[in-house]
Amino acid sequence: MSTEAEQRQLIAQRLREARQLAGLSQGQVAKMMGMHRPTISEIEAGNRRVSAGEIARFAEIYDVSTGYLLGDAPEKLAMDDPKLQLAARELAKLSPDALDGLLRALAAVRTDGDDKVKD
Amino acid sequence: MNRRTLILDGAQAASDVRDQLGLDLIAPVDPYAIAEDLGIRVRFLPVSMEGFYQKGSPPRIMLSALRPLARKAFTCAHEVGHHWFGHGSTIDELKSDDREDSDIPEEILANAFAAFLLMPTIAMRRAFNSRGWKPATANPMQILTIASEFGVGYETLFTHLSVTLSDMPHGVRNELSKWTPQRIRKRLLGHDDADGLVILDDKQQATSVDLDEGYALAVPTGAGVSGAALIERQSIEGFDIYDAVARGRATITTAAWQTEARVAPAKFVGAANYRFLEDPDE
Repeated sequence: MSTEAEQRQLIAQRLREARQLAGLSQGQVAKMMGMHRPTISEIEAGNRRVSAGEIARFAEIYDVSTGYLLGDAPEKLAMDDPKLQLAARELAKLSPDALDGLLRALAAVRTDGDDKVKD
Repeated sequence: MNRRTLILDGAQAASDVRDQLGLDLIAPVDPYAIAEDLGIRVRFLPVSMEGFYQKGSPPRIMLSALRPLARKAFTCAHEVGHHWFGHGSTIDELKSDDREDSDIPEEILANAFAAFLLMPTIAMRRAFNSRGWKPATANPMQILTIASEFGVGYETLFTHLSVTLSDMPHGVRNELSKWTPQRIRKRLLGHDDADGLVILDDKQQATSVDLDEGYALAVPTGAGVSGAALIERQSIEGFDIYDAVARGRATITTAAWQTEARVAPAKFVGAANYRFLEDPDE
């Protein structure tokens, strides 16, 4: 079991990664969340708690699963993950770097039904 | 099925999509808006490939952030084609040029779909006729102007006209291929500072035009431009040249049309629907 502090750091890190993957600045997200910019920065530094409601809202804005933001889901999809729906010959088209980037993005993005399974 | 049949099927499907979404066969379309209307989420990733279509709920398109603007739009349309035809998830690997045509039926279909979605036959005819131009005698500046209107690449346009529509003799195609967008840009602007050039002339009908930061935009002399995304740089014969300097939108107005210019960060990574969002942090 991870300590509460470790978990908060993991959530903070996932929130930052998901924001960057969505192409948003802290200022843009602050505006969408109705928060001040420093609040986003505090959240992403792991210095401020995030409520369940806020996590859900972040997930919606970033189009990622809440499981990913909470650290319940891996940071990178396994090659045989059924979510991937890709044959090995398709994956073989990509360089290792490109494959890594794609699998990370796919681990984050939400699939309908994701969050129901986690509840 | 042979190649010709597949191309015709792709063209028909492109026309069906326009029809379903209430778009005519004349006006330029935005493939990102079409993807969104079909319930597909589009993202840009800093990954070396052309694109990726993920069948699923929701369906997704991932495009390489590293490819040129017009290339990304074409690939987006291509991936929409995979979706429309009900194909499975596919990765489209990096292609060095337009015409490395695949022999895989799904790829031929998706390519024809993309080409005809962005460049319908009637729209091409109107674009040339309304300007008094002909594909058979087109010069590089004319091709770049019409490519700009339809949001496709210079080479993509003349290849479509010559190879797919057979509207352009080989000799003309060869002449056009001696020019690159970069060379045309340098000739027109007298410098090589811009990463791309989009030309909107009096006759264009696009209601929006996409730019990356660092691109130059040519609009008819005296056109009204409002918005912080563009700043005026220079004037050339018949055109005012603006630089795309910030993420966001600007409105361009002439006596003939009004168009929204939308500027994304160069090599933007993120969700397609956020790419033109003004950034208070900038």
